[in-house]
Order: sequence, then structure tokens, then C-alpha cells
Amino acid sequence: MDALNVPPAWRERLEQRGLAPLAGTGRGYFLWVAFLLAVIGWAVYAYSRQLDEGLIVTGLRDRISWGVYIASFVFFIGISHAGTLLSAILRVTKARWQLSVTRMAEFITVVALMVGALFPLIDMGRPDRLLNMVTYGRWQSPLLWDIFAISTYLTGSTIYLYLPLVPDFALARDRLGPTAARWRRTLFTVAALGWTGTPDQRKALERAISVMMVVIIPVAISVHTVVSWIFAMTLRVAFDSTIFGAYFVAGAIFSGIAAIILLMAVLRKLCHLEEFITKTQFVNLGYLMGAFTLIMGYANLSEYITHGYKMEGAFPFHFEQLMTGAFAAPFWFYIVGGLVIPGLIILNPRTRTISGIVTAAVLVLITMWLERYLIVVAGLRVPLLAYEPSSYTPSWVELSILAGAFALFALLITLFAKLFPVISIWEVADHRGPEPEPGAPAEAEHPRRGALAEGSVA
Amino acid sequence: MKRVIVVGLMALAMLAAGAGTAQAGSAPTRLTFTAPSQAALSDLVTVRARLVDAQGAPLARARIAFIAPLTFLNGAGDVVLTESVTDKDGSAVGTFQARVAGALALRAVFRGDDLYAPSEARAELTVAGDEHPLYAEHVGVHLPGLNQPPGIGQIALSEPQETVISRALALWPAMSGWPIAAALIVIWSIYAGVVRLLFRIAAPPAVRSAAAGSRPAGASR
Repeated sequence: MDALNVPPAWRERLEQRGLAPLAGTGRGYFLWVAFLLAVIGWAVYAYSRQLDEGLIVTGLRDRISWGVYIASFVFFIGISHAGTLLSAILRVTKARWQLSVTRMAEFITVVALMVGALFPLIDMGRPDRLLNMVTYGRWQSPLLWDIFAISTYLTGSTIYLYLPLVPDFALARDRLGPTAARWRRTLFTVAALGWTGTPDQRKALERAISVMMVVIIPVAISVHTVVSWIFAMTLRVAFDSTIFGAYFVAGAIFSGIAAIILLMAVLRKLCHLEEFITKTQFVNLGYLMGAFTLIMGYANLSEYITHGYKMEGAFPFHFEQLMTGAFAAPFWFYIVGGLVIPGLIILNPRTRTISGIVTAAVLVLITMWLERYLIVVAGLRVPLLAYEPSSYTPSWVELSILAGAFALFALLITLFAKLFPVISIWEVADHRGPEPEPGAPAEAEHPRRGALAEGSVA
Repeated sequence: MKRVIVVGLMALAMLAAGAGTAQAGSAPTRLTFTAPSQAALSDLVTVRARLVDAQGAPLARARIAFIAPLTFLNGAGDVVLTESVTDKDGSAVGTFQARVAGALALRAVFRGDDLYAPSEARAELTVAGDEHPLYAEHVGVHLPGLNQPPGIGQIALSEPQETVISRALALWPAMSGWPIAAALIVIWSIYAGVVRLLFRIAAPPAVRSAAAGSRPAGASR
């Protein structure tokens, strides 16, 4: 990849802004962390009640045995695709506009996987039996495949997050210097791996990133495909679909893009990165999200029209409960609020603003969680035999744990943002450069130097 | 008290009148139901019903449902075992698999239509056999090594004839996870290769001092 000649003043501002959150911590930060810890603490208390009294404190029963926990598991694993998959695909296609947001996307991946993986454990009721999944696990079970897929993806995503951080750690080590706390200096020195930007180091780093960005794509796709197979390989009317794998992967990328947009908007504001994360990133990600509203709409149409046309077996019950019955309100909110309205916001040039795109992203995130809930709960509500359909309402324990999970997600992002630069400084400086002024030549016409030229990254 | 009785009688009279009205346009029907008294678990059971009108004339093209009350876990209800349409002789024949052991109170039900009133008939069927799960034990495509039944607690249904081929096939369960294991080995080997590249980045001091002339990472000024 060629490197750019960027104005020194611009580069200086980029480094200052990128490293500023690492240099000092305000009172607001501690208050925010305290609030998140309080929510997590409440969730831990709720979980202790569940451990003590059993799953009876939840709304889960024999017929609807998966609820908020598994819906949230699918949701978090879904948004984990934000990162690595999106960042890897855009790296592979050499899209340079995304360089300002790859780090955030990779944060989301690692954090969402860490949080999402907790849910099956919570749903088990007896976490002490977790090891049984391995000791008595069967290769034939999608549950075991899921354990392998998620652990492989989490490891790969962590490596993929770390690799582009190495030059930025070196930058932090050299720029923050003695002003930073001792533990920070030690952290940056160790994590920088002695990076000085020698040709050997640059070659090794480039090669490592290239390998990982290719490998992580099939791994990421396999993760959500396997998650979908946990449903699709169960003998349940509502899960009986051959497109579940593709549908889950598309939904994962869709919600992942929305998560990036939201995080991008928050960190841009808090870290004063307006100069480096511009409308370009929002609009381009908005276009991607808009494309996925169409893909998701098509997948839903294809799924419901084929089953709805035949109305075989117990499907009429499922169809009725989604379209006009017990789940009609969330279902139509998902279709209209999660697919139609975000699509229209992005299509219309007047609403295709940063605030418009962020609004669309928030809608997508809310409705994609609802969509996961509908798959899990409405799917399990279809009776297998001649009995009255069951009902499910999440208890305060489940809702508290859900709130705790979102707080944990926010806390980990908050801590990450304090430990690591939230934008990939060296990549933005060397491969993206400043936003062209209106009427100026496109970024592809910027003068370039040799790949990772000496003295540029480093 | 008198008033309550009068109101009650009036309500009953109205109900009776309503019922009479509903039946007014529908001719009465009679259903006869024949089912075997004994069957073994998993047998295909054939049941017959014949629908005639009050004069004994057969009724064709009428849908007859064969129903049994079943319980599963803590739920109970009528399950339609099979359905059939009567022929010109008024006969409907249905077949279902006996999947539950014990006594079954079968019913043949004609639900009625615009012309004819509903009717039903009963028969007893005793299904002999052990308790048996209601779900299919083997479904889908059987891929050797991928969806073999579990080894622990596996029940041999019949004594296998040992041949070279059967011995070779017997190895499959042991090889169950090979495709998955192979994929994992490939991916984790690539991860190991990438980590090895990271060790190359961790430059030795000699290289670092040699590079001292060049600007360090980030110290571009």
C-alpha cells in the first residue's frame, strides 16, 4: 500500500487528537464508569438470585426455554461482525475511507464477542456444568461447533485488533513519554514490541495483517452460520429454513454496521475527532447499511412468502402470530422501523446527514435485537403437539442481566478507548490523509510514497 | 328466587331454540367406525368409517377426521391422527402409525356442513409395547462421521454381521470430528504463523540500535 505525503500540521493534529484520551482522564469519565459499574453490580446481584434459586426466577419454562439470554447472545455475536468482517473486507478491497474507523470496528468485535459468549453460560442455569460441553461434547452437535467457532473467532479478532495497534503503541510510547503514568509507559513499551519501523518490521507487520484480513473473513462467516445452525438444525417449524445461515450472516453485518456508526458518532464527539471522522465515513457506512436493508428485506420476503404460500404443518400458527397475533407489534416494528425507515433515511439526500444516519443506525440496532427475540421466542412458541401455546415474559432478573450486559459492553469500550488510540493513527496518516476540500482532486490522486515508507508509519 | 328460575328457563328455551335453528337446515347423519382392537407399537393401523344419512343412504365426499386424545409433558389435547374423504359408498379409510403404547380412545368425527349435521363414533385400540419417544430417532441425511448416534449408551438393535466393510465403517464414529478438527488445525496454524511474525517484529537490541539513525515509530518529528 502506498503512503501519502500529508501536511505536517495535519499529522501533528491527528497524533494529538488520537493520543489525547490516553494522556488524561476527566471527572466525567470516572462518573460514567461508576454508573456502568453500578448497573453491572445490579446485574451481578440478579444473577446471584438466579444461581441461588435456579432458572425459575426467569420467565423461561419447559416450552419456551430460550428467551432474552439467547436472543442477546445472537445479537452480540451478530454485532461482533461489525468489526473484523467489515474492517477486513474493506481492507481487502483497499477502501481507504474506512481507515479512520477500523479500530473502532475491531474494538466492537472483541468486546461484543466477550459479552455475547457470556449469555449461553448464563442461560445454562448450572454454569458448573460448562465443562461437560467439552468433556461430553459430541462432534455432531452444532453447540460444540459453536464453542470452537466463537473461540477461534475471538482469538483471531484479538490478533487482528492487536496487529495494527503495534505502530500506534510505539507512537504512544514515544510521544507520551515521561508525562504518562509509569504503568502506561510499561504497557506501551511492551505492547509496541520494540517497534522502530525498520524495513523488516514493516514487512512482517504488513504480511501479518494481510494474512489475518483474509483468514478472518471465512472464520467470521462460519461463526454466525454455526449460530444459525443451532436453530436451523432443530426440529422446529419456525427454524426450518435453508437460508438461515446466509440470513444470520447478513443480519450480523447489518447490525454490525449500525453498531459502528453509533460508536463512531459517540467517540467522534467525545474525543473531538470531527476532522478525521467526517461525513464521508457516515455516508459510506450508511450506503452499506442501506444496501443491507434491501438484502434483509429480500431475505424476509423470500422466507415468509415461500412458507406462507404453502402454509404447511404448523406454519399457519407461526405466520398468524407474527403477522396479526401476539408478536405482530414487534414484527411490524422490525419491518417498518428496522428496514423501511432506515432505508428511506439513507435514500433521501435531505435526511442522509450524520444525525439522520445515526438515527437510522439506532433504529436498526433496536429492531435487530427484536428480530433475534422474535426468532427465538416466537419460534419456540409454536406448539409441537396439541397443547395450548405457551407464553413468555422476561423477568426482572433477565432484564437486569440484559442491562448489565449492555453496561459491560459500554464499560469495555470505555476502558479500551482509554488504553488504546481509537483511530489507527499511522494508517490514517500514511494511507488516507486529510479529507479533500470540496472541488479538490479525489483522494486517489494524492501523491504517494512507497509502501509503509520509512519514517512514515514510524 | 322465582324470577331467577323463570329467567333460567327462558335462557334454556332460547338455547334450545337456537340449537334447533342450527339443526333445522342440516339432515342428521350416522357414523360407524371400525378399528382393530390390538396393534403393536410402530405398526401401521388402518381404520375405517362409514357415513350415512338418516335413511341409511351413503354420503360421499365428506371429510372424516380420526382423532385420539394424547398427552405430552404437561399438555393434553385431541390430536388428528389422519383424515380421509368418504367415497361413493360413504366409506373413509385412514392409516396412521401407532407411536404411543397403551389404550387409545379413538374417535371418527364428521364435523358437519351446510346440509348435514355432525356425527362421531368411538373405538378402542390397545397398542402393545414399551414406552416409546414421540419424536423420530433418526432424521435427515446420515453422513458417516457427522451425525452418527452417540457411542455412550448406544443400544445395538441387532447383532451385526462382522465383515471387512462393517469393521471399516465401525471406525467412522471414532473419526466423527475429523473435518472440523482439520479446519481448526488449519486456522490455528495460520494464527501461529501470524504470532511468529509478531516475534520477528520484536526486534533484537542490535537491530534497534542500527535503526537508531532512522526515526522511531510515531516520532516523525
